Amino acid sequence: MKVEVRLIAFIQKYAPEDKSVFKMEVKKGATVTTVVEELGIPDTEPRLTLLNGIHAKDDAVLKDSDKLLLLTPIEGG
Amino acid sequence: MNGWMGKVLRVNLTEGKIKEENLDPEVARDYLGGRGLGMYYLNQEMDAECDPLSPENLLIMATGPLTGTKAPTGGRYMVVAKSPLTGSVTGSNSGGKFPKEFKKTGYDAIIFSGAAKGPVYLWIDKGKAELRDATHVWGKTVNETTDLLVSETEPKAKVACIGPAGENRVLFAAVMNDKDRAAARSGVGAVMGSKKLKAVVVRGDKKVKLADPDKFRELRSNVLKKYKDMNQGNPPVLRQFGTAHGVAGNQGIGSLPTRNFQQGTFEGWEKVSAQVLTDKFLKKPHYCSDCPIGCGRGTKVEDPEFQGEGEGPEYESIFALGPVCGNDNMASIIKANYVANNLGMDTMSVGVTLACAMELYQRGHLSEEEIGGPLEWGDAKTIVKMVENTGYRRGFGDRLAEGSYRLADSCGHPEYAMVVKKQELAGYEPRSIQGMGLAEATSPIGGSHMRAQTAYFELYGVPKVIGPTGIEDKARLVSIWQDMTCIIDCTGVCYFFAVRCFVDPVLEVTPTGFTEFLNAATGADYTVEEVRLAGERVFNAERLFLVNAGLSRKDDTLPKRQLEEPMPDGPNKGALSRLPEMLDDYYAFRGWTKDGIPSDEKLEELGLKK
Repeated sequence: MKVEVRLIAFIQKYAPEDKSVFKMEVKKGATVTTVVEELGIPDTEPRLTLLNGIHAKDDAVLKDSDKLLLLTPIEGG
Repeated sequence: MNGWMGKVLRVNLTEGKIKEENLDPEVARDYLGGRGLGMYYLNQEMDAECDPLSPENLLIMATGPLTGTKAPTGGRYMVVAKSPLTGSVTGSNSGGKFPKEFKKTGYDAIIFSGAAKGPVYLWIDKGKAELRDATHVWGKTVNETTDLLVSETEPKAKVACIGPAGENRVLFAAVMNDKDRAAARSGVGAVMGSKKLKAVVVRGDKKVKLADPDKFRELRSNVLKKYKDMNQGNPPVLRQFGTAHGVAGNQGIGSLPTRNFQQGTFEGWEKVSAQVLTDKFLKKPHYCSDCPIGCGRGTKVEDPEFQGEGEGPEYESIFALGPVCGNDNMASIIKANYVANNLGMDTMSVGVTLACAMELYQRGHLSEEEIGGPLEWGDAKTIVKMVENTGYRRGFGDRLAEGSYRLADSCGHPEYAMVVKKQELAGYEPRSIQGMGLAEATSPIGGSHMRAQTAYFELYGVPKVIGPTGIEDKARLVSIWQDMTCIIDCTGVCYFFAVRCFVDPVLEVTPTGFTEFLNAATGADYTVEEVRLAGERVFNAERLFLVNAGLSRKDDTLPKRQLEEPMPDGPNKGALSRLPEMLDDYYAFRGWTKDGIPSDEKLEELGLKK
């Protein structure tokens, strides 16, 4: 199955081919962690995770066509 | 004096008299400047129970000891007065280029008292101050006024002024500077309008003297390197995306208030996100004086329906003119922001008041006859029109100009006003982010994200994440962050830089960096504890004013919605604000009585008198 991944701000440096939005093929049962590990994003990189627009934990299981957003957290004001 | 200019200007508008006096070094040391200095004069010289729109109210503009020193982000000032919106004290902060120029005139603060008979403006040219007739600019917008006053004074002069909203005493009118920068909240612009003071125009030629220039230069260079390293060699995220970046973060935790806080997530959030703002509308980042960040947004809208060019919007303006009104049309949000700036109004209060009107209409408590037509969620054109009508108090805009509380109360349903102390909440949902709920409930100025931005540790992970849904330790942390915010607002620097670079990276935000910079600038030889205590002193001085103005525990609360209606959506579905569980702990940590009044022991510790 395929999920849409979007990386915003500093975390964008882990995007393949410098694309901030891309589709990724993942196996059934894949979680947020699967995607994060595949992209090579280390645990030390600060990030907020939104799955279909809602905050998600790393063990959340992905479904086909899910939209996963990983962003560097910064302040609003 | 070093750091401080050592002079205060007093302008008696009733008599048209101006005099200069020395800044008391002890007062400067204890209250730092800006918000603290303004609060000191208010407590000393004004009856807290006065009518805020009467000549009795004081309007104080004050810079801090780091304003204009080249300390990174040291380009800010405060406008302090009793608020006509809340009846409490207020201090509205602004950046841009005006504050530094103001300090270079040689004055730390200007105290306006009384009221002029006809419109006037204050012109300070290289230390010489005079009141001038402003009849020709009365009624003009912020952009028109700024251009006219620059053309008749000095090309390099900087202008702070009110627009029609301030003249018309819209209860949330702003004092605008450099056209697009706003000391926005609580109606400081209405106070200025009530005094018939249209503008303050400044041109300075003095340097801010530093006690130890070599040390100061070294500190500056070190802190700028630290900030650069923090950004991993990239431009800061705030420069790339602006504060609009907050849309995604808040949406993610169910804290993007939508349709007058009836929801905490917005289905159209991606259309109003930082990506859309950056890709479609951003022309270039704007900087305040001596700022290494550049979070200001120079924007342009091509869409003929909402055409315009200017600055903004910030996250809070997006929330208030977008999701909270059910509006996902970014071009219209930017346009409404331009209109509010040009008429001189707080975008947050005007947007949330409009959202309140929309809910009253949705529930049948406001009719089309009263409004002059339908008022549907997300009607982008009507939103822009209503913002304009509010600034001019035209038609239904006259009722919007009174703010959410008075509007909802006049319809018999004050529970639909999303306010604390009658001031509109900021763009955080207190049921999803508990610390912000306590911070807003206990904020001296009412609803605000700028009296303790606990979202830093509850959402953004600065200095580390303490989850948004828990309440453990929140009472203590809110108190500490409120006091730290006072230090920021008193010294004249920006929150965004200070939280990362002028305090230690611990939840207690110990003001070590502040102390080093203050000592190099002023030579006042502060200890870190004395600087921390100054922040606490200012917060308690504000509390004393508030108590004297008749406010107490009953006013440290949130709307009924946040306390009684479970969150209907998002990751915190079913949650309520746990404010009642935190408030007693908060008062106890502060050394206040159960009624929220500072105890005698606390006042003595801080050197304050009732």
